[in-house]
Amino acid sequence: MAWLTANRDEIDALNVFPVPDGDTGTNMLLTLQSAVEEIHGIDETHLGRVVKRVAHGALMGARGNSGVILSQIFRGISVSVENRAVVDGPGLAQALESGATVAYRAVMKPTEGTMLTVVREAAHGATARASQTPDIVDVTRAACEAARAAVERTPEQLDVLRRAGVVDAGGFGLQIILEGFLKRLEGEPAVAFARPAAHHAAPRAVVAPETGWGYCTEFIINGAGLPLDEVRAEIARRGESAIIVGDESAIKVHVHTHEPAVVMAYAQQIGTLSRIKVDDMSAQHHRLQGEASRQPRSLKHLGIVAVASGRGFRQILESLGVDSVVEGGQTMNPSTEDLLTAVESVPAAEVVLLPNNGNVIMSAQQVPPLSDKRVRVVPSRSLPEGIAALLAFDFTQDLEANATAMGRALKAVRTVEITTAVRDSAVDGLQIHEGDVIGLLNDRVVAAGKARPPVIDRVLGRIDPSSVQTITIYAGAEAPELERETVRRQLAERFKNSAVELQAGEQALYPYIIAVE
Amino acid sequence: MGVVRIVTDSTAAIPAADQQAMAITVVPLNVHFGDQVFRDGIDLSEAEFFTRLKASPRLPTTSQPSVGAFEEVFRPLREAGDEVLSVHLSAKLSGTFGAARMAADAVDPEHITVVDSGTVAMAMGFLVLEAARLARQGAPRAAITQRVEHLLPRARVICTIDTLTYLERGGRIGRAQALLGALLNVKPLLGVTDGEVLPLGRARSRAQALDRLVEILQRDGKLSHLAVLHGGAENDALKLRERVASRYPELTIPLAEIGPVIGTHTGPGVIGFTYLTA
Repeated sequence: MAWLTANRDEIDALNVFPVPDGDTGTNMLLTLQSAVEEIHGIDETHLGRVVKRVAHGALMGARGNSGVILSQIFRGISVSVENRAVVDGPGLAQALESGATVAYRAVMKPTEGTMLTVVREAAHGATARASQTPDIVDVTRAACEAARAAVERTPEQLDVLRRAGVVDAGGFGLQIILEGFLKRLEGEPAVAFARPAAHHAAPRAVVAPETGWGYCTEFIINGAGLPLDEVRAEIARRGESAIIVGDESAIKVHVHTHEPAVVMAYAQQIGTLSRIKVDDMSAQHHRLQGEASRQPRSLKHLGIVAVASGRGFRQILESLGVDSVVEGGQTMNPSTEDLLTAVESVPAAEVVLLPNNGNVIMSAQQVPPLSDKRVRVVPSRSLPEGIAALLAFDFTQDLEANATAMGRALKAVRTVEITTAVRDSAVDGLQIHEGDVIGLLNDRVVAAGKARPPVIDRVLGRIDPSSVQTITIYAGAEAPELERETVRRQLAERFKNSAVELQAGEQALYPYIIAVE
Repeated sequence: MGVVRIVTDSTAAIPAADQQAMAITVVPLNVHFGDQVFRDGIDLSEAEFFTRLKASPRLPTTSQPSVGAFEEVFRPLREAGDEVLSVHLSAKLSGTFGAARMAADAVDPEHITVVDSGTVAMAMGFLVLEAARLARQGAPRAAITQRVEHLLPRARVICTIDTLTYLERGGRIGRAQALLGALLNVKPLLGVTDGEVLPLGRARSRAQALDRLVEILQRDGKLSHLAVLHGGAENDALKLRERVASRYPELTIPLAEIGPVIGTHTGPGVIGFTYLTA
């Protein structure tokens, strides 16, 4: 963990795409952090049970594609060692093989030259060594060496890596995690990591309101011989959207309740509490009340949860009927748990989930099996795709029909994004320097330059005007007022027969996101 | 004993020729442009209305017929010895049904039945025409009422409008509130179900909206009646009829232009279908 923390920036910097989403290291670290917190301070030495908790923590904290794949590796390992109190070299090799298998299965279209290749090679390295020695240190070292070699080879397997002259970031992150494990086995001391301060915050003085939505209350009960079923029943009775997971040594509680003090007082009789977090949902609710109260309950058999960054986008999504907007996007991928919490908070038994970002789709896809609700993920890769999907929402149809129609509708939109290169790179024959304005069409960099309007013009120049009915420009927080209008006029001029609309998305890092339909 | 006389209100938008041929009495609602009051369909034609609507700096308002207006219709019919079946637009959208019922109570509740059609426009028109047909055949009031009530749940109105502004200002938006959004280039799809204006969905353009309407229409399967509804959009309505006509060879599909009262609430450009499912 500490080794990964120390190497996070390097991993982040390895992201080949020059868009500001260089956060593979951060995503893996946050995922691992959630895994480690799950076993923090527990009194458990049975390996199988500890790893099970680790896998669960990783799954709940999984952010971004790299985080999700990491969580799947842990799951595979957990399944393999489930009944083992301790593990030796061959046992570890077997566990790594299981981790690789589960991770491959989790990815729809496995690509070689990524984390998947690295975990498989590491497992093979470990297996080969384990046939010669039962020593776990030797086997781990072999896994590390195989991982390192596999990472070095990733540029040969993926063109995009070769052209950018880097190795795969996720694969490298996995190598670092294995090396960290080896360092501990070799006797290096564990380094305590700094946990986010928010998790240590004391609960505020809370008074249960008479009405409203109450408090989103989260904490962990630590102890021995904890009665999980009893805790689950008792706490679920006192609130809604209860998610209570754990075992005899630690129980993670998430509940929406009007009486957080009562819930915590009860929990304190059971064990000691940690990671306490109490959020006033009424405050959030009040802001939305004008909107929500106009919508009759009966319409809400189907809820919608969407991910977005930016105040403007949040408003637009809410105005299109989204019940809960999860903050996040390109640089801050929400975790599976964030998405699950939002899904559980929606007053509907069936929920459509819109990730609105390619890096969030996998975490979103972990949500349906974790929720008691019926959840369908409509795999929107951008906010314009998400909005196109929302526009196809049919109030008269059920979950399945809507998910299908929305999935079809999002394919009809082309997404243009304008941002600033965060590093020098070469993409598809374009020489890009750090600080350049770059223009992406459906996630591919197609233009670069020094000023935004001409770059926008070059990207849009690739689109046949006769195929366009509507253009919506979502100006980001960094786009100056005057320039927004310039861009609108410029596009109205180019697309004379289309409706061109300017909206304030106020998203970070992307001065313009443009939907072409 | 006399015959059963059919009464409705002007929002049914039954063509004048049919009104006469089927002996249907139509009580007008009113449209107010400032201080000027026009009786729906009598003082103001559809074409005049939409021209005025676009030109008027202030939006018109509408008002239901007075109880007295209904009494003036019911009383002579009763005096002639006839019974009355009076069919009106959804009570959730207008006080017209209430006014008619109060008038019936005052005149002769025993022999006047007032029905809330739960719908508007030609969907209600179809019910009224069916009632008039049965009345001409000499069917008793109870049987005609039963037939109308039997058909009620099959009545559909689906349409797209250019803007929700008119519906919102007129206070008839109902659950279609959910369609109010921040995006401008969005065409709302609306329906009238159980007497209320309900959201059906949204489309990115008028062309896409028409595609969705055709889709919804086809999902409803076999129909017994179908009309293309429009407000000041005859050319679009003709094209829309052309698109669907071949699928319903057994039906004649009239264009039903909505009148000034409904037009006040939809604004110009409304287009869609009104029909009864088979």
